[in-house]
Amino acid sequence: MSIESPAEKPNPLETVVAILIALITVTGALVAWRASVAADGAGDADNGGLRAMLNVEETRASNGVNGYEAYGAFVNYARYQRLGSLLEDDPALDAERADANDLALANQFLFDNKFLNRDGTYDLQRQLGELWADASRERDLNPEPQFQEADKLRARSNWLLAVVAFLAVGLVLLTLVEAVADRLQTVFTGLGAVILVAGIALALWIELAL
Amino acid sequence: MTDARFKRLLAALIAVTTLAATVITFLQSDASARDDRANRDARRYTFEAFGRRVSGDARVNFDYNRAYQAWYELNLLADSAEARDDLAGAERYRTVRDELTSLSPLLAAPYFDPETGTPNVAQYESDTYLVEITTLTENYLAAAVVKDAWDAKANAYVFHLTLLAVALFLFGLAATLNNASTRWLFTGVGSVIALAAIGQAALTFFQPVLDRREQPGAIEAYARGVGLAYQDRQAEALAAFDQAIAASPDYANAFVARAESRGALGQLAESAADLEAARAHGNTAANVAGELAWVYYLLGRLDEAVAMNQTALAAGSGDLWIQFDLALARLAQGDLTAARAEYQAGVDAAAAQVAQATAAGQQPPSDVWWSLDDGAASLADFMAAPPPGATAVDEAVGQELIRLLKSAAVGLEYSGQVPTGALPASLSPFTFAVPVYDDQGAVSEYVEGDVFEFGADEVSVLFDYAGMRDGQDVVYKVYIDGEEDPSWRVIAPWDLGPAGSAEKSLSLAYSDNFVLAPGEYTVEMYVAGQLAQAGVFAIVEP
Repeated sequence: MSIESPAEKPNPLETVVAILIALITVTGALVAWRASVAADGAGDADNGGLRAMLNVEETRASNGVNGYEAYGAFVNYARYQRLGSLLEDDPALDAERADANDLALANQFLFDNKFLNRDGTYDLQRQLGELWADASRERDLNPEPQFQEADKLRARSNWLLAVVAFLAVGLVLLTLVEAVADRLQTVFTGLGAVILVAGIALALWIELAL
Repeated sequence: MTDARFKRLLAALIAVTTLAATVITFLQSDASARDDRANRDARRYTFEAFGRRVSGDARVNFDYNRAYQAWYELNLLADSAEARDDLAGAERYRTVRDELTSLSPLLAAPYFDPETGTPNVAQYESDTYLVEITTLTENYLAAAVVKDAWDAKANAYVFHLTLLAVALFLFGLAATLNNASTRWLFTGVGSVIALAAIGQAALTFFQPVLDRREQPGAIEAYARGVGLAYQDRQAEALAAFDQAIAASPDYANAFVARAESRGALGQLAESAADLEAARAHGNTAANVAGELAWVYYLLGRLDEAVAMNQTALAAGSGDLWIQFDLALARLAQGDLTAARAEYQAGVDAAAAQVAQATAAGQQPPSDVWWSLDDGAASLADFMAAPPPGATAVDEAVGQELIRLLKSAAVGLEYSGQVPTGALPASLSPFTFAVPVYDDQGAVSEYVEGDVFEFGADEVSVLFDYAGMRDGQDVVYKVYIDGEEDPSWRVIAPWDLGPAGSAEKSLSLAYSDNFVLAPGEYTVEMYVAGQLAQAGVFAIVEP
């Protein structure tokens, strides 16, 4: 938009206002671009977080099913193994004892012996922990940092857009310079300049600090 | 006004409109970001609920199907050994049985009572994952509502921005025109559009977005109530739902859940009020309308029951149970013609569902049989104890309709067709008896009756028959206290000739431990898909 002047002699204020309007417009466009980049990054981070979340729940479900299957085999093992040991005292029940021990053996192959405790119990939590650790080496199981990143970028995008709105106030003031009384023209121009500088500073602070 | 002054005014208008557009752009971006975040939360809750359910199910399946089953088997073996006077064997089994209790929390307090040998699986499931999953599901629903609200706001702002763009276009046109009246017209219209857009944007901005997750305790109390109701602790559940509704007065799901608890406690009028509230707060699902119609029926508000069943059916679910409830309400009104038509419509719909599934090479949905059986059971209850204000119905008419539903259920399940025509055979009424065996294991006599002492391990169903044909499909169904026990169901071709006397034994007499559980037993016999005979006996409490 051009600034009209009734005087034939060039008015230095007009030139300053024109330069300020150009600067504020370009700054606004740059800040809007950075806001758009941040919003796009927030969407990507959200998707990454949700992928990790899916990995987490898939791993949790799979580990739960496998872990409790193994624990179920252990329960059968413990039952037959204990029954076999109780039958040891009675020679008349050798066949039953052998059957019980065979059934214990059959179930022993269905779980990992390394999770057996010294007292004969089964450390299911250790198995679940190990399964989790194995899975975490192969896939991302930590969605929180990405969700936090998404929230951070979303906040940055919003703040940058707020700066654009702030710069628009400066644009309005500079546009109104011609419409106001002479004594206010300098004030409006000065305020426009202050808003431009503050807007640039705010945008830089948001980009660097947030 | 001079041209210069007009252009200054126009510049000011353009500047203010641009400023407004910038602010609305910021608001649109903010709404869109909140929409994205709520959408992410909703998806996150879904994933979490899914994972927790699978792992929770795996855990409870282990606890019940492995640990408890092992305990139960060992207990049974110990009892059998003791019955055989093998005291050492019984002691061995009990030792192992007791040692197993350390392997699962389900076999310990507060979930297990070793005296009765019965685990409280409902409480265990509730504590292990049900309450947690309910919380996640409700969070998902709350996030979805928030997402929709911010989405609507973001879309509204886009509309406002479009209006501001139109206003700016009109201001621009006005700047290029020389005709004073035309440029004032454009400026005026542009100003009105800009003002309207800014006003609407302001209204949108001040429109609140309610997030149930931010209403302290609402979802938690609801989930706790669901867990308690699952354990049939309805009075405590009611208190929890009261808390949920106090924290979130428009919580439609809590109203529905409280209505169910109140219904279970016999507070029918309050239950109806809660279901009405749920509908008023936006839950217009067919099942809620169907439940409300059923409560109206029980209260004797028959006109409202008919209207609400029709509303539920119009909601498009096509649920058979609603159709049969509608038929029953018509019957209770005394409109026999309409009732018959509604029952027939339900049977036809069931047949169509089965035909559709068969044509697609799929198994028919099992809720077809459930709905037909449920319709028959409701009809039987109506004949026995009609709701207040209902018109009495002739016993023969009631039995005819019950036969229609039950025969349709069996016919559709086993042949895919609704049986038609007259019953091809005649059977005498059932006689029930406990057989007495001689030393050779042959039945020496039958002790007839329809009430037997606890401890009976076998009851025989005795009847005479005529018009039967070998190879004909025969189905026996046994209901215990009104609910079918599928383990007793027998499907076999007839092989006893066209006429004579028959005995059908209900027993697991090969077991050392089995006795018939206390309760009222209803035995039904179907020939060629049609209900041919039914009878009732009871085993008294010990």
